[in-house]
Amino acid sequence: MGDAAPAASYSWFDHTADIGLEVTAPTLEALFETAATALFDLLVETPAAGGASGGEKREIRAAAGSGAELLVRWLSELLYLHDAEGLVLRGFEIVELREDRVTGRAVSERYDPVRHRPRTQIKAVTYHQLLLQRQEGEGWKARLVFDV
Amino acid sequence: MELVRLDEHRWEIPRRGSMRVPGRIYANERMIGAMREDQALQQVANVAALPGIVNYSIAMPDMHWGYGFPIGGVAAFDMESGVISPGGVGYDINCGVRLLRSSLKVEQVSHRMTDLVNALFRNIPSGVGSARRDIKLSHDEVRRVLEAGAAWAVRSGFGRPEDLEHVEAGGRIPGPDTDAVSDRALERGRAQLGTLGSGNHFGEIQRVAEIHDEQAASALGLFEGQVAVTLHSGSRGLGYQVCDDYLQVMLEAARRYGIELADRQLCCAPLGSPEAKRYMGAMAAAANFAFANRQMMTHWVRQTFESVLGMGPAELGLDVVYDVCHNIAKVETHVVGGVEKKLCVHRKGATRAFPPGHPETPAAYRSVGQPVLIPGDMGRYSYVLVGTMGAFRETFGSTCHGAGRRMSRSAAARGARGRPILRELADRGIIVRSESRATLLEEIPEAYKDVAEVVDVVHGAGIARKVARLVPMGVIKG
Repeated sequence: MGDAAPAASYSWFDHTADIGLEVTAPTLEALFETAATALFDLLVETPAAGGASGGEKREIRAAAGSGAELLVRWLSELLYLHDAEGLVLRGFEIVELREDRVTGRAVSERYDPVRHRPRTQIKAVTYHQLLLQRQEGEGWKARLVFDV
Repeated sequence: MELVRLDEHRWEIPRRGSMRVPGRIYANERMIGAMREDQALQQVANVAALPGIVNYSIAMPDMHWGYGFPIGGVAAFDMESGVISPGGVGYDINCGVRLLRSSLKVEQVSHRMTDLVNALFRNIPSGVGSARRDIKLSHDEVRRVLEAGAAWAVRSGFGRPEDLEHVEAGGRIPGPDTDAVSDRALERGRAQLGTLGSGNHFGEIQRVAEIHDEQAASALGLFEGQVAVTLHSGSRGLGYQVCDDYLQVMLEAARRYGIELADRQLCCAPLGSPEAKRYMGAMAAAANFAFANRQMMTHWVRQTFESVLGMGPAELGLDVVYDVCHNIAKVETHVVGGVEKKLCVHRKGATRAFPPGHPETPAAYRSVGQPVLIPGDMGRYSYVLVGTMGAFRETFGSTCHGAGRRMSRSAAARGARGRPILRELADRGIIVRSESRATLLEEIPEAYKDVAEVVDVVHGAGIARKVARLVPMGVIKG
């Protein structure tokens, strides 16, 4: 990431029954990391950093037919880990990103009703109006909708 | 978007571009104004462009912008030329509603409402990672749930055999294919059977506030001042996973079969294809999980009332009035152009509303029509309706499913921030327990349309008939 590159960021947009996410990032890797952070910010309220010491490193993989669909698969994988295994993930780091697959790492801890407060539970990451594109000039932008 | 008004309650989106049939919308003038503000009408038109769609792409008055298909949409497809789309069913396969009536009058329970709501909240798990400690299933056992549906729950001690007579499809969609359900779906289902979920899912203790149709109400065993319980939940993570798994399959299938999509979420496969057959088997399995889920919660509702009120089952009379699917695709026989035809009817946020005399309408209700359960918001009211010949003729035996959202979740949360929502509701006589404060804020009553207006449209259009209005007294949410 060059010094001049703008920082990655995300914002929510309104969708009547559901929730839309918009992410911009200087690199595709940063975009995947930021989208993952956004997902967990939506799911759980975690007390200020340092609440839990450490946590395990967890490797996460996803594959799909195209770049935009890969983003959906990546986030769906994270959502599965949250819903099925009760994991809360943070500190995302993309290790390898190809056209059709991604490998990432994150710090993983178990959902703990004492430390974590549930925010908005989402059912799925949809393909509705899915968009992933290179920005004019520099960087990447993605838009997607979560089913609540 | 061009719209032609056909009469007081009916509107049409004329065919244009890639639309194969027109769009048909049931709404009043004010609702149409609101629908024009987002992309819901475009979504009706997008569905109208799918192969093999019959008559028109239908939207109910509670329609709002969904993902792919609009929420509140109905679309029927020809078995030869048509398609099936997981997005046309939704993630929460067989999200639905079950209504229990009781022999109790309001005055017998109102002084115990806080205890009842607290006990219900304890006995029916809701929210993240919640599950009953006494329910732990192997993957094989989950497969048996998917095979048998609500009957699995009854067999396992959750409820009574006669409950099944008053559930859509008898609590089991035929043709479940457990081999078509992934291990991931089984894994998510294993821990979540018998849980309410979050978002708009709820359990509600209600009173029958008003009877609109004495004869139908009497057939349904409803009377003014009666205590009733409504459960709104679906197939939980198992259903979400099945939908997610098959969206990937269908994205690929749509490419292979050359089906053009206005939105990836509309991805689908021809009804005769292997992909469609596998999805239908997996969908039926997930729907059966949802029926079992609501059946288990029914049992816990009964146990809760028994222990809090110290009364026996005979005295409480917590019988199932009916249980309907709101998100499903089914193969049904309908009359098209004067000829009986098998069709695949997608109902996404819509309710089956079969008429009096239909063989699938339970014997007890055959003279009045199939019960239709329409939840409103947690502060106002819900409705019980019955199906009509009008619905059977016009909307493939379908009607609306709820209030429909008026505000986005963030707008609702902004409006509710800092407000003592629980106190506000308590002042209106409604005790609410919620696992998550965020859910509570997003689900405030004013976030929803007035369900009375929605119901008036379907009643006025003759695609359902009003029977009774229920008012909440106690609510549990995820």
